[in-house]
Amino acid sequence: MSVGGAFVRFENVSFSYGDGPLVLRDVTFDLEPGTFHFLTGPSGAGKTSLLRLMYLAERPTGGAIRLFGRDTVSLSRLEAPVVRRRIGVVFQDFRLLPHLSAFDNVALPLRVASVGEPEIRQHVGELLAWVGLADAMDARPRTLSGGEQQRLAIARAVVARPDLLVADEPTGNVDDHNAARMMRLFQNAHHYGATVVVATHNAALVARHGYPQLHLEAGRFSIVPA
Amino acid sequence: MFRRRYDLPLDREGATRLVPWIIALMSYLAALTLLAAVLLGSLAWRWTEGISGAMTVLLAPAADGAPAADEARLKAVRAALAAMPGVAGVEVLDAAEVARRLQPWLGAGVSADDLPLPRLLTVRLAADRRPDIEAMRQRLEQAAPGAVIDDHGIWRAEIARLAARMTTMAGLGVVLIALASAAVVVFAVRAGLAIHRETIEVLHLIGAHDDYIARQFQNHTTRLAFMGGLIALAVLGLTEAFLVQAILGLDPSLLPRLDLVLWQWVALGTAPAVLVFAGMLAIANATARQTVRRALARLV
Repeated sequence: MSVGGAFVRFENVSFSYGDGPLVLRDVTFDLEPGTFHFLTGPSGAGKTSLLRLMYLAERPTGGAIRLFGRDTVSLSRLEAPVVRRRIGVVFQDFRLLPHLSAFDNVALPLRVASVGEPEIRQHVGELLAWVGLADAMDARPRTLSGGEQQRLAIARAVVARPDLLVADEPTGNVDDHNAARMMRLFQNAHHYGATVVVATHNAALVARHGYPQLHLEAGRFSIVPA
Repeated sequence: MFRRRYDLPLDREGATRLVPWIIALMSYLAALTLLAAVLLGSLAWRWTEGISGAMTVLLAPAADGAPAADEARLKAVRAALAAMPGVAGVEVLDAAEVARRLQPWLGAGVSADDLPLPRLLTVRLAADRRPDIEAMRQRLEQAAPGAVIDDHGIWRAEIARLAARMTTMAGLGVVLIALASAAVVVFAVRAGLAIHRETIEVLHLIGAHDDYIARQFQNHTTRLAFMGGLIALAVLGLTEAFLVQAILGLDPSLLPRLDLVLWQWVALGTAPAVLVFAGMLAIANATARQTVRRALARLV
């Protein structure tokens, strides 16, 4: 991969949970802005850990991570949220807030960024229509199907127009039809300018779309070009 | 301040259901303690004010019991007092007034004929000049040997000391209640943090500042304290009404007079309550904020 962009840069990153064994070893790569990558590898290879480092849920045990030109290891508690707002995350288990409506779930990233309510109403309405949930604005997540919850999670991840969109196994629990629909949503976000990283172990999906891969196997990292 | 839309479902958790009632109890106790301190302080002040502007001269009856001799001694004492610098006036209490003042202790129907009661003179002091008590004592000794001056100094000192001690104890009590209230808030907020840990992580990961999350706890806790405060105010109002009824039923001669106008009575009744109410809101708000911020600082 190119070293020039440094939009997302991992430099000799290693990671372990607490005093446990290393989950990631010596991971180094750059992502340029506006690119689309799959993050592949078998279950337990460290895909989720790598993504958690990328969206600042964890700090690396060793090495350095730079996002948008900033060293993330030295970010203060005041600075970290500002960087996080530039990242949209689709969690593996969605992590929608069950007590909030679909509308309020999608509005959350805008509300934490202190966006005004009229603007929120407009953006969230558009986003819910985009993911096909315009009629489910007031629905609680538990009343939605798995595919609908997944799309709601995608809407929440992209509503603030993130520079970096990461998704952890978004197609893992849905049928092929919904998986294809979701990929179209990610591609749309990519066309709008987001850098996208989608973790998956769905080889057929990867083969169908042909994007470059960040590949993990037993904590070891490699890059598979398109 | 009391926005009800929470990203965290704080208003649905059972852990904080008792908080308004505990805050209500704490507020009630604190307000009652403050009210007692203010009332006692006012009474003590009024008492010492009343007795510091006057002295009492006590003239024991003559040994032979002759009324003429008593009258002559009284006249001499009165003249001696009137001539003293710093004395604004001298009033001789008649036998009926002496009997009235002794009535709570001796019962009705006491007169000088039944008991050898002393003659009492109230000496009103000039506001701008204190008399020389020692010179006055010597002058009275010459005019009527055995006349005793009571300048109420011992009473004044005792009352002031008692009032100071009670005020200190009340202050200490209020501080302890405030600390206990803060502890209740800390436990409630920690429970909330534990219950909503996952949601808090989601909020963090989508870019919420610590302040944004802390504000939700602050608003919720302040609202609980507000509800508790309202309950306390209602119960305190009932208590004050009961106390007023009880005081009105007492013999007025047993209590020092508190000559206050209506607004002063209202202020006396409401100031401690308002102070405690505002204090509890501030304690709840600040404690919740600090507790959340400290807990979040330990997260990534």
